[in-house]
Amino acid sequence: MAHAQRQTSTPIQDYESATIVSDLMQIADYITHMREEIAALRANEMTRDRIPMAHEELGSVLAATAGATNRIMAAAEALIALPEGPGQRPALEEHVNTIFEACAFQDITGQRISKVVDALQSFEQRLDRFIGAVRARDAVSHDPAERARQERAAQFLLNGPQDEAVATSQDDIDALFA
Amino acid sequence: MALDLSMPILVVDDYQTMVRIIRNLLKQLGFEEVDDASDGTAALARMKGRKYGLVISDWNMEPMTGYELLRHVRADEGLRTTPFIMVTAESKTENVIAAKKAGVNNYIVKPFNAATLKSKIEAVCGS
Repeated sequence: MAHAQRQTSTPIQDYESATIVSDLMQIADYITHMREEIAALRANEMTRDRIPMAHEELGSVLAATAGATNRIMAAAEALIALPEGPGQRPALEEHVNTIFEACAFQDITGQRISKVVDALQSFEQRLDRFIGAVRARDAVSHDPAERARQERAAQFLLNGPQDEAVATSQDDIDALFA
Repeated sequence: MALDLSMPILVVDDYQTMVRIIRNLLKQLGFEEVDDASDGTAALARMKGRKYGLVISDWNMEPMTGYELLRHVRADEGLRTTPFIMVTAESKTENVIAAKKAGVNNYIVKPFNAATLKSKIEAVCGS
């Protein structure tokens, strides 16, 4: 039956069949390429290992800076409150040493932040490659929480700290109030 | 410039370390009557119960921002003349202009030093 049908097909039908086969092969190639790009993204590794690591490291940085700030401030407050007298010098040295010790947080937090920066650079490279491969375009966000956050930020001008190069300086602000 | 060191001051910031820093700086300047609140809503409640000679407020707080607090204060007949200094990391010009339009008396960008805080308090509250 199929043999009989092929014998009766027209040149136009043959052309259409060839086009469909060609299109399907292109789609199959695209899917294979996409699977390779998705694999190169290593999304599971990101969500399983590196993003939790970044959360953990930044949490540690936050705790270390808060702890160091509290120790430094407590020592400074104790210094201000020191009564004059023979015991003043040893007490002063003790509090100053506490401040020096507390400043050691910077070394460790610097190393932790470097790990997070490395992870972010890796994500950026992988995402750049993926965006290029799929020619991705951003859709409008439908996340209500994110939309509410953006609306609040716009309404109340929650711009956050600015880069020093573009931030308005205290001198410029003072000029506005002069 | 003479300052009334007995005037109560309200410090509004959700970051307790910053409250502690400002408290210490104010103490160094001779101010002893310092209260604090962690956002605009808590600050307004405090202001309804006590007359403050100065409010020093952060901008970015939840649920009520310092900017909203400023607008509430300026819209309230009983509070509108309270001197108000914004101390914030919000350093975009649009923030400064918006605060000025809303009636802020002065604006300090974080990080700041004791001399800056002192000069702004003197400019706002000095007789």
